[in-house]
Amino acid sequence: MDVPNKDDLEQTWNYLEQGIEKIMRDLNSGMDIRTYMGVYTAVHNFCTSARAVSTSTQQLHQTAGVHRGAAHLLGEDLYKNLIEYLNSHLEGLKQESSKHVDEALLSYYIREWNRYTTAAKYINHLFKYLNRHWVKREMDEGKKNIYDVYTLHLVQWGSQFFTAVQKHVMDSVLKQVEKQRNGETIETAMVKSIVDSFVSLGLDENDSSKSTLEVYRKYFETPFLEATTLYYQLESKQFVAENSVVEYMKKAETRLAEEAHRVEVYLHPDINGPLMKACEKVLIQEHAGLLKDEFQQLLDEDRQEDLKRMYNLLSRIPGGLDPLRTRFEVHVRRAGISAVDKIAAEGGEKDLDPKVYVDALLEVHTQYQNLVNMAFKGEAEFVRSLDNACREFVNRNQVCKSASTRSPELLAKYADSLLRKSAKSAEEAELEGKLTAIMTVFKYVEDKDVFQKFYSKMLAKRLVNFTSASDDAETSMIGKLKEACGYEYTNKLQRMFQDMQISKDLNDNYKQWLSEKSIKTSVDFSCQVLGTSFWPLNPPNTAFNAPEVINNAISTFVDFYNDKHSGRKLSWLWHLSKGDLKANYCRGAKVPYTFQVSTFQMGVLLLFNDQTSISYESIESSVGLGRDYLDAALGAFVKQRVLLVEPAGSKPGPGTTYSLNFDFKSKKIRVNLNTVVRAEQKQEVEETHKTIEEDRKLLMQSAIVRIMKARKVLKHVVLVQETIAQIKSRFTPKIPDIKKTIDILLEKEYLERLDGERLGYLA
Amino acid sequence: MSRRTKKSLLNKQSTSSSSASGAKATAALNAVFDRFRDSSDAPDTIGQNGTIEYLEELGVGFDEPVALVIAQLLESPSMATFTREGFLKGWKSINVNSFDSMKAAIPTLRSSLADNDTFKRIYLFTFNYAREPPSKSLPLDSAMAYWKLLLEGRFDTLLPVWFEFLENMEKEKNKDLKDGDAAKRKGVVITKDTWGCLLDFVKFANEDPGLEKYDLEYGSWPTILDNFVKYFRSKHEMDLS
Repeated sequence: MDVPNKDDLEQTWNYLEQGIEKIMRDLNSGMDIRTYMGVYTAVHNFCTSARAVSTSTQQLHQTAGVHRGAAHLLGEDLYKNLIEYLNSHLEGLKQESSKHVDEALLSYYIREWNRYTTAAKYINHLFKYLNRHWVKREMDEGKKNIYDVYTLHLVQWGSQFFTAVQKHVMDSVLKQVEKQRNGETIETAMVKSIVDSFVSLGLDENDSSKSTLEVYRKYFETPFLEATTLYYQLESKQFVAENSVVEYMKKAETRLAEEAHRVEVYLHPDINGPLMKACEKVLIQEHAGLLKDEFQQLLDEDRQEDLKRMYNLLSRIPGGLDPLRTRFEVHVRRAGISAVDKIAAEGGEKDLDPKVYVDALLEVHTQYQNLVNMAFKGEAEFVRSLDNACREFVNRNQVCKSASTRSPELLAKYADSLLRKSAKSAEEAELEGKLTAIMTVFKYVEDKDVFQKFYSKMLAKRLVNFTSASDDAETSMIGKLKEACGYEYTNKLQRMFQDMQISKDLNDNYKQWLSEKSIKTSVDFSCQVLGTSFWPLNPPNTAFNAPEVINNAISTFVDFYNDKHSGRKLSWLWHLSKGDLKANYCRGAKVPYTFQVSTFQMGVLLLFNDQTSISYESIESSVGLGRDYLDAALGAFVKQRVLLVEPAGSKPGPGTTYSLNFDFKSKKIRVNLNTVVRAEQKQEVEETHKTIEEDRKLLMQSAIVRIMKARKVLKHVVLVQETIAQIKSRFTPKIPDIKKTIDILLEKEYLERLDGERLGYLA
Repeated sequence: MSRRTKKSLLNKQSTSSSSASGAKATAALNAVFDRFRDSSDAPDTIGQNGTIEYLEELGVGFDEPVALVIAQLLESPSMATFTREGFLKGWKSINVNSFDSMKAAIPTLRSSLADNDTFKRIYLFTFNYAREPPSKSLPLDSAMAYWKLLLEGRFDTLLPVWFEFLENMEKEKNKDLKDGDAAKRKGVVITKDTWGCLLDFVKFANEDPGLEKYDLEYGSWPTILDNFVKYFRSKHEMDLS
């Protein structure tokens, strides 16, 4: 067919329509280039023809130019005819589509969509001239509802066909998806095509070259989400009625994974968020109460996998984990408390083995820390719940009932048992692990000052008695404490260590000094010089007349020491000193025995160098010891038959007499007569507690004065808060105690009361 | 604080009289002062006997609040003692220079207690006045006597409970003592802070007689008042049940 007369619309359109029809209906059989070029040219010619127009139009458009006015009108005719053609084509499709349902409808829709959009591309190309001129001008002038030819195809599809069939199509899609959810296999590619076609229909009103998801969201996403919600609502309701919660969690987990997979395979990625949200709502949120109720059971049975599952599910909904955290905290606290109850019942509170106690605390902590890591992904909030719970049961439990300071006391004792030399000293690596575990409990201890007190007491003992198992372990432990509480906390501990080192050098120097001056001493003497302010050691609470040999040795040492450091005062801690005595008098011994004795005992025993039988009163006046100490010393001698008491079998006291046992016998060459009295230790614990109270008062006073010095004037309530904040790392002060301290400082005129509940600092 | 207010008041009241009449007034006041001074008293001081005599002649009872107003006016350094300096300065400050005008001034001084600021000044003055150095605080019986004197009509409902509380507290302190151990008795003492705070507490209690708004936890009251309120509340609860 020839290219039609360019001025004749009807002729031209008829020509064009045949070409369009061919493209639309039968593109696959091919279109020869001539026809194609013909159509293209016809459009061009028609749009550029200088066909006469009505005078009125010409006059109207005089300023704009004749040519332009004509093109305007002519383009519009073509455009309108094209719309008409598309409408009638789509009307045909609509009729046809009503014959199909379900899968068949989907494949029909996709087939027609593909055919239509492919054709649209070609037709768009053929009508390029119209696009470039008439359409462009119309759009430039801001005319609404004018599109390039391709977009026009989509618009018409949308308005003439899609609106009529979308519901049926969507119903079929949802049926397919439901089939799949029910376990059948479906042609997912089909659904994907539908999704794509829906997306393509979203046209940006302002820029036709861009697309929006509006149509897709309205006609696909919304019904899809609704159907999903409904489906899972029904399913989950039925499922929980028939199955256990744990089974349900597995089901929900699977379903959520399936839906995520569905998005990947054939849905638009845009639906991921809303779809997950919808699923989470029906699958988790609506059953959250049920899950939470099951939580306690799972905890009780320590079912980590299921707890993990529950965590994963509930972590997906807002606020879902909060009730779990609260319950978890309560549960751990109870577990800790009952663990302590158990050992308290078994071991008795008074003689509780520190190791048993600390191990019990640690066991609970370790168990639930693992759980937090395994099941709750080590999430910070759960860690905090764990910490809160541990802090509670470490400080408040059956053992601490009498005094909250029991925990730090026992912890320090446990540390001492690890660091002290003993038959079953731990391997180095193992020891380090145990010290780290101590720090775990230490972290939760509120009365850190109590731990410090006991620790330093026991460290002092280890050092003074040379019973520390390893310098490395001691240093490591102090390092850990320093890391946790800072320099001030461990300062004294470190100084104690230093004193020991300095003393070692000092004794070496002393020996050298002695040989340089050719001084011969009658006893082998060494001592530790310990700074009074760093060591938690008290002077002896008894008088004591040291034996002369000792006094001589001491005065030689003092000469040496004053030579080095003038102005230092040395006082002797007799109760901590000890020595060895060689017993040359025993008849039955081939090798003389060596008696290991305390200095007090030495004072007693050396009296027998001059006399072999001495009365209690005489010993008492010579040695000058308080009776407690004297009786203990004599008791040990009598018990081991170093001395014989007269009358036989009597306890040390006035009226008794002691004589040297020349027939003393022992299996060992070295005989330890220096046995510690237990009552003494108990008294020490009480003293330590007393000093803690005193120290706390001072600590609060100095904190308050320090704060007030810096701030000058402060509201009462703020001062209380700041004081707590400053002291918290050592112990938790009670508000009434702080107030009492403030009362004292007011009385001492460090502070004054100002109006408005304020306090002022008096320099 | 009491020191400061006192000073400013004196400045305000010391009127500039001509030096001639000033000298005359000094002589007249000195004469009155010497009349009541006992030869056994320290120089420039009226002691206990003289004070009692003096107040009696002024028509003032020793156990009357106005006696404290006079003591404060004349800067009495301690109980029943006047110094010449304070005596002259005090009377001059309110233009009094004869015994008769002193007598005439008593009603004004008596009514001055109605003014809250004046009352507070007198109240705070009383602590140092009643104190027996070197002690920094008041023994309980002395504190209670002055409270009774000063707070009558101001704290009527709670004062008996407050006294009861304090007496219980003293009993509690000595509960382990045997009858013969009088020397070991530990008394409750009232510190300057407690003394001062009680006046604020009186004001507080007058506005809130049930002490319902008293904040035990975060209030800035001294511990002794916290304990009192706890005592009051437990007593109250017992009354209810």
